Amino acid sequence: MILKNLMRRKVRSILTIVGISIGIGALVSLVAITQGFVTIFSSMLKSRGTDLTVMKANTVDILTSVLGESLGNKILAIEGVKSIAGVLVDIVTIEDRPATLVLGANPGEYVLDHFKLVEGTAIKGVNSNEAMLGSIAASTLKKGVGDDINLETDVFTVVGVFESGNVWEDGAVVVPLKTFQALMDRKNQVTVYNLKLTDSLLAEDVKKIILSRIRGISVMTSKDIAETNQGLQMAKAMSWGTSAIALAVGAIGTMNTMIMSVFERTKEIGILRALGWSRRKILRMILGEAVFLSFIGGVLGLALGTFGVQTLVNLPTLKGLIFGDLSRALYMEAMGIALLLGIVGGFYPAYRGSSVSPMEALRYE
Amino acid sequence: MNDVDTIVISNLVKTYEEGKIQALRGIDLRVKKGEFLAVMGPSGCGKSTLLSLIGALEPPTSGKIIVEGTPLDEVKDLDRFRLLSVGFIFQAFFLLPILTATENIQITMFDTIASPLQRRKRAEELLRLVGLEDRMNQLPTKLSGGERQRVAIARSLANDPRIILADEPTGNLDSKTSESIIALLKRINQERGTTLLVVTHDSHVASNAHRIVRLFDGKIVVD
Repeated sequence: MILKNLMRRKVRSILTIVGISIGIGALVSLVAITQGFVTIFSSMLKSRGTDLTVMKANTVDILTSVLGESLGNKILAIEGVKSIAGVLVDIVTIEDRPATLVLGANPGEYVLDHFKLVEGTAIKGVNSNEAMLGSIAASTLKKGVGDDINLETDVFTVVGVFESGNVWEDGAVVVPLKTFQALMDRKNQVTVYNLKLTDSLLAEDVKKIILSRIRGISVMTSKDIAETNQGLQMAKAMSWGTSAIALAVGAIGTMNTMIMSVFERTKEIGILRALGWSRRKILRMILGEAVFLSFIGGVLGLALGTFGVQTLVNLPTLKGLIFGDLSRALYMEAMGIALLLGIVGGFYPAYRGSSVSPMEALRYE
Repeated sequence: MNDVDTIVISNLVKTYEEGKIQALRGIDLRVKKGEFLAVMGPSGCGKSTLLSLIGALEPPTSGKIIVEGTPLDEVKDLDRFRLLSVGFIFQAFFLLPILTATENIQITMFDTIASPLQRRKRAEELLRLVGLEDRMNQLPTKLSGGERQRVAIARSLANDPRIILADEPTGNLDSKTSESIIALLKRINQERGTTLLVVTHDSHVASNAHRIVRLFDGKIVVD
């Protein structure tokens, strides 16, 4: 009966489903991409073997962090710190690729150890114009070992192509730190320091010591860097905010559809009430229709969101920069929200419909 | 018909718009079990209101209605009372347009017969009873007025009610079809012993009843 009621106004039902699926699709894609940032960040730090990351205090975006190179020795002197690697990170235009992540690191440092070379060698010269390309960067730039790339005003020679399994690193270009500092006019500066400790379990203790000795910096464990990063928090908030707007539109659409449907069926509801249908039964029927619409909208929304994420991450301009973390938890969350949307959007119409007095409804024209 | 009163109405009053409209002004009526009672009277005399109060579609302003020994104002679940104790037949048939003939009957059995197959069987059995065995899967729009009213009659019998309340059941039908509908109702009354209250304008329809009650201006003037 629920299905038959919805089928009598096919276009209206379809439009409601479309509205819900757009809301759920927006939620899935935005949250998956935001969550993707967190996942990439965490996995990148984890795969590097970094226990602590030091950056400038109160930086909203990690790229805006600026630390002096002299700080490195001070940190290295602290007990429990096994090795330290300063990395200069920036996003620059390389040839046709408008946004490419470039990492400036000293050759041989531990942060480059997890890169698996698939072609050529690692960068060796401290002041050289050698570059290693991540596999995604190599494929989108269409460059291989021996090719030259134009990076800002300099020309670099590709000496190796690597894979790390992390979409950001695989989409990045790695060049010697000194060369990159000179190129970006940021001599003796790094963006972050990656710290490897003698024992990972000492992370909290070492963090406290560093913070007590050096001011103006923040020290984070690999886990909380992704979770507390203000930029990511803002992105998360924005993605949920945008999704909330889309979902509110979906809920209003569902409510509108169901209210119209209840008005149109006042007499029929009266007939059912006269025949002995209880208010609860009527409420369940109307709510069932709303939930059914939202369920279908939810399923389509999941498909739409997945398609959206896959499309975005494969766009040439974004490839290697974003990653969609389409987890089962996100799908379940989105589906739960879709069903909640049906309940919220359907409750008032259902309540109204069930409140109809049978006699008044039978007289209704 | 036997001598037991199945419906006892005393001093029944129904007003609308805070007493400005007085639909019923103190009705006293007793209907025997298995009786076929016709309620006649001019438009607006309160016939349909009387039926809607007996069927618990709306509450009376004052007075008492006792159905099978239970005062309606003491019935906790009036929905269930309407579902099980009374069957309604309306002048405008009131079938759901999106449902077929069998489905229109099955909607009254969701709470009484759990098995969908059993519900369908019961609906088909009732449609055979009213002579619509070849129209079972038709939508109401594909049925004639007489056929629609037969479906409504079949629907009213779905849960074996002891009372059928028919409000102008032949009001929208031609004389020949009316004849067959009344014959059907009479047969149900005789074969099943179902108490039948029929509101009608038509004296020919009323002539089939065991008893005729005439209402005028909210009061019984002839019994």
